[in-house]
Amino acid sequence: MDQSDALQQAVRAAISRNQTVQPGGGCTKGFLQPGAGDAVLVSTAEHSGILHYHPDELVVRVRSGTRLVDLQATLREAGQYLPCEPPSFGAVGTVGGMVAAGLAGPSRPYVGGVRDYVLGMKLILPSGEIAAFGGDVMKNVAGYDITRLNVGARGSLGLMLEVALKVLPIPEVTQVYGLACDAGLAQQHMLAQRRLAGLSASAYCDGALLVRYQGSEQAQPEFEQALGQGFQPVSSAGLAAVRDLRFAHTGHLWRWDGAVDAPVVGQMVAMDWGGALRWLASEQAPVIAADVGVVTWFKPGNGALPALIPRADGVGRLQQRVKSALDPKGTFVGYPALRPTP
Amino acid sequence: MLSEAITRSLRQIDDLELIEDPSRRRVYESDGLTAIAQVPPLVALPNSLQALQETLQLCHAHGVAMVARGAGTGLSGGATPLADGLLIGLAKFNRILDIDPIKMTARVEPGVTNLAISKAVASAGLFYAPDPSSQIACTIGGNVAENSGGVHCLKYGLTLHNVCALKMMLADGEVLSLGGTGLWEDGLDLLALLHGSEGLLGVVIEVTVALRPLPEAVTVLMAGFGDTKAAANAVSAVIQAGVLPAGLEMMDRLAIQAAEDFVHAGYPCEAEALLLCELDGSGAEIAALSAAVQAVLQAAGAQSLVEASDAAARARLWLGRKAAFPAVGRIAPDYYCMDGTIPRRHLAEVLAAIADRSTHYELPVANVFHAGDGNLHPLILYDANDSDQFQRAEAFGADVLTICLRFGGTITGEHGVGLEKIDQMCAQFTTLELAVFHAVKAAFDPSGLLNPGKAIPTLNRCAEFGAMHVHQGAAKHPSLPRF
Repeated sequence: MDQSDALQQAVRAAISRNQTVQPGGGCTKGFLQPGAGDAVLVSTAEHSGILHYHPDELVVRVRSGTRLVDLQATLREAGQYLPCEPPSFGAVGTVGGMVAAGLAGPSRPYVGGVRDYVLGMKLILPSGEIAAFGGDVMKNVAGYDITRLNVGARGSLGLMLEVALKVLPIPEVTQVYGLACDAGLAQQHMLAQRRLAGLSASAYCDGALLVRYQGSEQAQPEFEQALGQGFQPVSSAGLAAVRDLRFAHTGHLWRWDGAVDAPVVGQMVAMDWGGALRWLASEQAPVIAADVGVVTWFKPGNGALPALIPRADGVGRLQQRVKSALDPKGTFVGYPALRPTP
Repeated sequence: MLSEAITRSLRQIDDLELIEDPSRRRVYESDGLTAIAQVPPLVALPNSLQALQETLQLCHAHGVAMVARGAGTGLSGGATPLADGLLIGLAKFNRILDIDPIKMTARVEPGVTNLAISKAVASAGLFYAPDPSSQIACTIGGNVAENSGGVHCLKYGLTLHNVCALKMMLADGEVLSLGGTGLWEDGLDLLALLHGSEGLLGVVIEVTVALRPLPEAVTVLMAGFGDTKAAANAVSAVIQAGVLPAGLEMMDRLAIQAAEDFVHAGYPCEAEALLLCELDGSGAEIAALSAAVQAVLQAAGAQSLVEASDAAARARLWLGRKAAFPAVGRIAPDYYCMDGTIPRRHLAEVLAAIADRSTHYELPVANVFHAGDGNLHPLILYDANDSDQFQRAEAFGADVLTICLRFGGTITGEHGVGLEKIDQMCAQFTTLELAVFHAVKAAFDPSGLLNPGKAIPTLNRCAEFGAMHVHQGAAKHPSLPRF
């Protein structure tokens, strides 16, 4: 149902009371905004519905509060899917939440992330007014790409009302293969297998390397042959568990983003994206050479929050300038990228 | 302002070549949009990053506006010089710095041409996917500035989807690295924002591109249709069948004939519309894929169907499409290339509306179309020496953009706004939305020195434009004074 007016009133009411707004949908990813405690939650959960879907144009436009599972079911009926494979932290997760969090699943290195599939957006700006950027077409270079700037911005620049997404046909065959091995051997396989035609995931967790084939039936035997000895067909549950962070760990969860060939370190509990994304668990900030990757705090564990500071390099300062320019009065929560204190 | 004192200071910078001679400066008077020309008062060609940085710092300190330029192949006037600013040519930054066959990336300077990247990595079994038609000459820095596309976007994406990281200088010379070392960077996605920013936010000094393994097998299907609607329906049917072609291009009768007369590609001249469909994949799957698509095209009413699977035959079919612009150039003294994108379901109506304008302005139009992604390139034929024809062509072009907007599309799919479409920006965006663009610009370039006057119109400019045009019955900028 269209709740645009109510949402706009809620944002305007917060503006008039000098309150900060935290946009939310299913609120399954609240852990991403630990500093949003005092903010007023303005929820898009009732603002749902598919506005139009043209399978032959590979484009769908939805209201932000549409549940991800509902969109995925609609796409599946037409033989299509969201290639960015967002993680699910609960069935009430919304499309707006997917876009605001910008978290992509295991296919990220092979087909792209959330921002690569977002085409357009309508949102409530920090002024309380409604604006639209991008559109329902795949190629569009009119104006700066405000749409993609909002992907992964965690609601810091506006409250999304509508999102247009590019979708793709579901591959004919999807099959995950597993190999029991240690992390070092898993990384060797990951590097050696990077060019396999049809490779669409490569992750490691709980002593198993999981690689996925997506493509035609005809090309599948070639893929299996190239994998080599020891790989067995397995269900896709293991890959989904890595994607949704359903692996055992103690302490805070940190993400490391860096070079696929960087050495594997001790605190690592899972590896995804062919080695470009690694999940580290520890109470204290992991110390890893900064030239091959960056550690960011991601999800709280049981202990007290570690010492974190907003990213303060030139890019971090520019990010803050952009936030200040677009939201000068601080209507929406900030998105300081939190890094361990050096 | 670019004063004699500043020119003297620029002369002191090491590794900086200055072009002061008027006849040599004239070379830079326009980019691919030759209708707008402005001889730059001074051209700087830095030969090192330090020289570039000192140039930016000096201009920034003295409030001199700057335009960065790659190969100057852009089609919207994004690199048109300013009457009182410095033109900075980046063509000397043409080295490929690093090719990493394991990570499948290449790190290159901004002046490296698009095609040079694919050529350099071919021996490693890799290629760089975005392929704008000017790829032999256009530079990767310019590709980032325009978020360039090409014929393979449907499957492989735009420049944005194929750049992992880049280094840039802000207007004051500060160097920033965007994109991190992995596939995700914390904080706002400024890497995405830089793509298509038309040189207004920063100067790109290094680009790390993602490479892909060369496909094992490629085949091209060419189908002729009795009318454009049937061809458009065939495009829908191919995608409905779950196929994602590497390229899917459409040409109308005038474009087919011009291309055939020019390069003899073997096109069916009796067809009203032509589809070129490129499929790629592994050797094991390509035959089945091709058979499936051929069946879809037949069922959609293809009157002729040809497959080219060897490299020479494929190249011949593509030659006609890639030569469509110069081919049209042979049948008229001048042509004006438009670049709208529309939701494809409206193609027949949009083509009918364009045909109606063609009759109205008494100027022929040839259409080539990136059919897979809805990006339409009508080529308006005219004679620039006839000022009446020139004015009609410009009015026709503006009408085409309005038509694209009316059907839910955009005024530019891949050529950019530049100077050419700056007035139509007022029709596509509200005052509020334009203010957001200006805020972004202010965060990056508070002094407004990088490529001023391009891409994003001032609100006053829109007030003037809006006074002449009322869209969908409502003025787009009601809050602004009209004068």
